[in-house]
Amino acid sequence: MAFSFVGILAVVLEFFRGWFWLLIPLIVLDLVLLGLFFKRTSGRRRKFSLPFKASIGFGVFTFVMALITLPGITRSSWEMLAGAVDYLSLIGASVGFGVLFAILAFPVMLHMLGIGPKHKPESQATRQSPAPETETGAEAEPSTASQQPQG
Amino acid sequence: MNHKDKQIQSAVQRALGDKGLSRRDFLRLSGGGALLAGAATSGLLYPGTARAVSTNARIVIVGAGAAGLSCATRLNRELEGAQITLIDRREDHYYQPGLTLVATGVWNTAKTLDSNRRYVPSGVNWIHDMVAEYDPDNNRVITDDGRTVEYDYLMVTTGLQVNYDQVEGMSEELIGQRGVGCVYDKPELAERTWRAVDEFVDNGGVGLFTRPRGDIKCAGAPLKVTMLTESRMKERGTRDKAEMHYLPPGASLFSQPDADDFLSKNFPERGIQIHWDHPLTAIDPDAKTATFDTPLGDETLDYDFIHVVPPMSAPDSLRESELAAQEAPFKGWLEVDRHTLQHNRYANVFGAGDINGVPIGKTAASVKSQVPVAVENMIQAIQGRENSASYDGYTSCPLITELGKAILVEFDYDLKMKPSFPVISPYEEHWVPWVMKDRLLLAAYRAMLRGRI
Repeated sequence: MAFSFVGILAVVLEFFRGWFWLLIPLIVLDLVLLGLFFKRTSGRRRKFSLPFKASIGFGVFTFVMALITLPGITRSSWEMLAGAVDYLSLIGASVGFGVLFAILAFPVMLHMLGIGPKHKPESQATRQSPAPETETGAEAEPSTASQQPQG
Repeated sequence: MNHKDKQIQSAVQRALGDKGLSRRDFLRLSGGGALLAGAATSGLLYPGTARAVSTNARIVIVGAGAAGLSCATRLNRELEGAQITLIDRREDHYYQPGLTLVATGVWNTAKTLDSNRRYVPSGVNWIHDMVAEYDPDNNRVITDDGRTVEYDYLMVTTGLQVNYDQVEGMSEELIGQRGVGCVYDKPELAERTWRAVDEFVDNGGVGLFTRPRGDIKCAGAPLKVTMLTESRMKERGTRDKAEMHYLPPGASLFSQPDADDFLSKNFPERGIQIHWDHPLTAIDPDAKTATFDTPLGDETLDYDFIHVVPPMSAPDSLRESELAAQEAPFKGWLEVDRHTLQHNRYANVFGAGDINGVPIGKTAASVKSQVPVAVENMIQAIQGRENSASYDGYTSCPLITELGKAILVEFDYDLKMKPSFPVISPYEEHWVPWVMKDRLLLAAYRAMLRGRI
């Protein structure tokens, strides 16, 4: 019996319906945290690279944990896995958990690691030399050179 | 538009141009995405009202089980102006596919308990009563309370009844006591069965696992209970203390030949002895003996634990009515065409689920396949059109072989394997079908009740 895309989506929604009490507040909390982050960083530098990397790290940790524990959580064991389907499904599910937790952790990481120093006043900035290029310009810290008075 | 807005607009257009998209393409895609998101979050969460057919037909659905609720949702959604009446006294809804897991201690009963009220769509008139009599010649049914309900179209979705009294000495009250178990019918009985299974797993002894003659719902359940009990013993290290026997009524274990081959080899390999042609006729719970009607005459065996599967039939009210098939092989069941699910003699009567007199398929998976066919054909009958929807006999059984693995067996009237997910072999034990059974099929079942799949 073939399942349509909408059919699979309906089953997924039913699967999560029992967890809405947890998921919806979590998502709302994340959105609020995101909003607060942008409010808090108004007039400040925003650093995205480090929170992103930290979230990825958290996701990878979750992925590994899921890989190890999912068979047991499903009342099964590693011994019961047989063939590519089982192993690929386990990896797929673990990746899914990893991505989900990384996304959920990102707003928290932004608050912990993403708030940079205040922008310099424009008059002072015009006297400074341009900051050297970095991976993400937004989080470039003022270099020693940029703090030297010009001329 | 200020200068900054213009800058943003030109930047967006540049970005779209880089991707080969026009502004119109972008808006169209955005609209599509928004619609998809809307459909996903609202339409899928709540039954929609995309009514296609206008009618003032009076439709009666008898039975609020899986098939009845699913039919009610679909008919309510697809018909405008119809008077839909659902008749069933039961308030509780049981997720019966989960009872094997309750009876073997994997799930608790709460997981299988639900409420019919959650799934009865608004706009459907729910009569809290049971049908006592069918009068198809006058297009009406009469309830226990003596109420007459007339219809233009009738959908029969009563499910079946478990006849404990057809095994001498057996009764519902015995389940869970004196080594008697029975996985069927209600979560409470499955829980009591687990008590008996649990004791047997600990103490060992002789275990008899039976199956009756005739059609039963979820014919894989007696096999699953046997294999899960054996698996529990291995888990607890008590397997050596038990002698296990499986006693089918005929010369096969499963209707699908490949699954039958697998089980016929697998059971002896794990020390479960098969006794062919052993339908159970009587038990003596005090003496702990069971009697079987074998080709060589009655045979009585001692037991410490017995899994009794009583014969099953259509509910008496249906079985004794004009709607029942009068001849074998489906005598007593609703007489429907196996493909259109329309009654063979009463063109305004359709059936879905366990009640149908069709060769295989008294499972929730069959309900999932039958309901859209029965509903579509009923709507076509209302419109005066020929039936075009056809049921191919699809049924499915996640055959749990051990705690943690299973085989996903899906097949049709021709007994050919019909895997929904071709990557999952229907010939090998895997972890994935176990996860489906344990975690996903309940969600699929609820989506079915809401008419979403």
